[in-house]
Amino acid sequence: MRIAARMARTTAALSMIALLAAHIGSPQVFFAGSAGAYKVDVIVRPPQVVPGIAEVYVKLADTTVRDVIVRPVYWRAGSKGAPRGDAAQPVKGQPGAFVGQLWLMASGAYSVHVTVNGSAGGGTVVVPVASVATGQLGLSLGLKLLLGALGALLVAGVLTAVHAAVGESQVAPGEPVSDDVQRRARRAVIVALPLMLLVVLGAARWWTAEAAAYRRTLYRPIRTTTRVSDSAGIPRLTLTIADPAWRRASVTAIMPDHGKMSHMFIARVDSPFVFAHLHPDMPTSDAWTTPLPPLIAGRYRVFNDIVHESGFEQTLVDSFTLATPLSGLGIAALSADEAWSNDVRHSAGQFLAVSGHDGNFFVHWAGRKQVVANEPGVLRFVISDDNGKPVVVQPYLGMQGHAVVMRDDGKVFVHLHPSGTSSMASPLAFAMRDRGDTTSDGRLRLDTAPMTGMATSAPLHEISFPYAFPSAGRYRVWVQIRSDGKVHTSPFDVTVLHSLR
Amino acid sequence: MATAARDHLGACSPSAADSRAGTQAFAWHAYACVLAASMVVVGLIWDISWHMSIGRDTFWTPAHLLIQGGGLIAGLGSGALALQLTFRGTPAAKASAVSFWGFRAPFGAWVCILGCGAMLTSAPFDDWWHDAYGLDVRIISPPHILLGLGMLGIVMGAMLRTLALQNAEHSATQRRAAFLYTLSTGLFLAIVSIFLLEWSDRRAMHSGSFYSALSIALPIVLVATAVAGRRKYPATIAAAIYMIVLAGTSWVLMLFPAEPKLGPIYRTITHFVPLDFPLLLVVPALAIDLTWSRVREWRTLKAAAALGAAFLIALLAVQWPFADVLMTSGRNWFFHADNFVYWQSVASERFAFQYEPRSLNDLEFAADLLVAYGFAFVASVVGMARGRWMMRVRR
Repeated sequence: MRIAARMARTTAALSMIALLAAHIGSPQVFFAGSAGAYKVDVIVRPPQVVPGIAEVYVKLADTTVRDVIVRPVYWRAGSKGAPRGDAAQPVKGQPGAFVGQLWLMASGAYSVHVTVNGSAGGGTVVVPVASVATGQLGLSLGLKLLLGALGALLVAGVLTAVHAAVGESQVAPGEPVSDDVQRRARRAVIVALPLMLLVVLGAARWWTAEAAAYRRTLYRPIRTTTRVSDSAGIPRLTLTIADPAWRRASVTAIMPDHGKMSHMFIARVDSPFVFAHLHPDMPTSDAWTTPLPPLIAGRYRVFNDIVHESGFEQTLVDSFTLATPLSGLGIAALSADEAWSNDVRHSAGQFLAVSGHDGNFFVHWAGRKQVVANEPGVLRFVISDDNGKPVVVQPYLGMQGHAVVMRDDGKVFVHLHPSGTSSMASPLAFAMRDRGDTTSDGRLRLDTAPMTGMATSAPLHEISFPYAFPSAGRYRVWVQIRSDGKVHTSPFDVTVLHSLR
Repeated sequence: MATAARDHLGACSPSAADSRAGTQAFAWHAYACVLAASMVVVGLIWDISWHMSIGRDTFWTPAHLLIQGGGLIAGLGSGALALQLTFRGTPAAKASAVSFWGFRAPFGAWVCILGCGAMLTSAPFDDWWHDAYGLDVRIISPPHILLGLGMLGIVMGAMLRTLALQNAEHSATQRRAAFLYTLSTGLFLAIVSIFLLEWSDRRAMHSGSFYSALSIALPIVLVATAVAGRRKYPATIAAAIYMIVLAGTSWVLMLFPAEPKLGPIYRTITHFVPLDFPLLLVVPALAIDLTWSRVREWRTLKAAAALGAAFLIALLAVQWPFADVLMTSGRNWFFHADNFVYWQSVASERFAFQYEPRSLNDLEFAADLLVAYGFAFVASVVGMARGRWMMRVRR
């Protein structure tokens, strides 16, 4: 796709000093859903700086539609405090595709309203976008040379002007410029030269200070500590915020997503298929704790997905090491929504085309065999029984399925749904706040909130997750689907190649 | 217009010396510079109002085009003049110019070219700055300051160009040139006052910081104008022009519809939001004009002491009560004290009509005023030196 290539190029031009947003190392937002009668796919590439301009790409199945409006809505101001939307422009040579720009002026949670108007009426989808500064543009050599040359010309020009101001400009027209005047002009330049140098040095220092001040506003991971303890024989993990910035910042409270205060993913570093998807409790406003399944010894990465009541999605990252395997006593304390895999039969680097858990449940990789970075539409899977027929899947946490993507160095992590990269809680938070469903101190009235968009049990043959791998590398993908009351975790090892465009 | 201007400004008597004729040659350029300076200043006011009302801008907004147009008229006009004078100028015309890297042009033209150069340099710099650190996160940023200095250069170039004509020993030119000089000084005062906006907020008008900030900068301009002007009451007229330009542009802008195109939006905006009503600078400027007419023969320090005192007392006498008028009766189209930007919450509105906690009886305030007087004194010394230098600008 042209837009994907353009986004990739723009991203490559940035000298990133941090790549951490709501999802780790994967800033692009993907959405798939329905705006009224229209099936719509949306990709948003947030800016690297705030305030900045996000690019939005909209693809409609109905190629007759001509009117697509995109509108960014900041969580605090709501749709009442949002500017009118802008018409997205059709992409030449791509029927049904539109591109637009979104001016994100504040840091925090935005909802992007994509409105489609056509012969089948109108409809709007809401796409949550986290607006945070994540990188800093470097000064290219060409621009450096250009600005340096222009700056030198200006400095030389000012010094010449000083010479003229004290010298020749003070002499009546037609009269010769005396030696005295020349000497006076030269003296003025000698005085002005160090002053100009001071000005230039002062400006350079100011620039450095501005750059440092900007770097302080960059989104950075919240520092956490992770402890594995034994509580009455049950192994228990506790993740605690250890970052004073968490308390200093005016963060809104954490809200449940799919009814869970967080979604915690634990992956063993060296054997990619040892994995757990857990739902910790929140005993305090800055700690999450959960019983652990019988994980084997090794080093683990922890990713804890949380959603703030502003609609801002955040992933807390940490790691821990188990010197010995954990007991199985934690299993009884885990709920049916929690799933793990201790499969160590495969080592990193093996690509699994099919993964079976029960002998009659298969998940097949149906995307391209050769996966390229920034190419959307690759995460497709076919689900079948051992006769190749669709299986009935039950909703798992309100969705037909979940997918987790992690690069083997842990620098990329994202939790996906068939609807895209967003949680279910985030659009709910925007909708509640917009209709004033809040308490006097600005909290959401969550006790009355209905969960919408829940999936139902149905035969399913194929499932896809709108996503594009952000960079080349070795990735692990876990697909989780519930069938026969059991959550099946199917791991895949994917090698992603550099984009050729 | 250019021909008419040259005919008028360049009307030399048959007895005029060649050098004088040279000074008047290409006088169209003086008009072009003043036009460019006017475009830059009005464009700047419009641009600030645009940001207060609409928010979203591109390189091609009308306000930006006006500023860039002004920069280009001044820069290209001055460049063309330099080429024409250097390669085709008469000896007399060349002798009325200054040398700059082998080229010849009036001094004001070179300052305009430098101003245009600074503005052009700021364009790629500012573009990169937006990509690197965000879209206009801060108004006071290195590329914006470079742009501001460029605009200041254009206006100063117009002043110097008209000043050279005013200072030429030819009465037919002097009157018109003196008016153009006063006009460009008014524009210069407008641009300086815009740079001082952050420190001249209405809420600070009963605090020492307000008087200190204005005393640092304004006497330099007003005293220099009084010293170098050839008309009667030059500083007063320049201050009046500043007020007319600032208030007039605001009154016109307020007639046009505008709505925010950026969020978050915390209040409804239907028309352009104007800048604050201008400072009543005609009064301190008149005080400086009157004082200068009495102290022009005094020693510099003694004269500066009188000028600084005149400025500060007049400013305090007029701006202090006027602040009360703005606070209590300013919510109307004339004073437009309710010029709230779209991102200002309605809840914060009341703070816009509350002074910072200072009072005249406060000893601290008296000490602040003493500091302000110190600034006004030093600024008057600088202003006198600048004015005397300006009196001698001949080319």
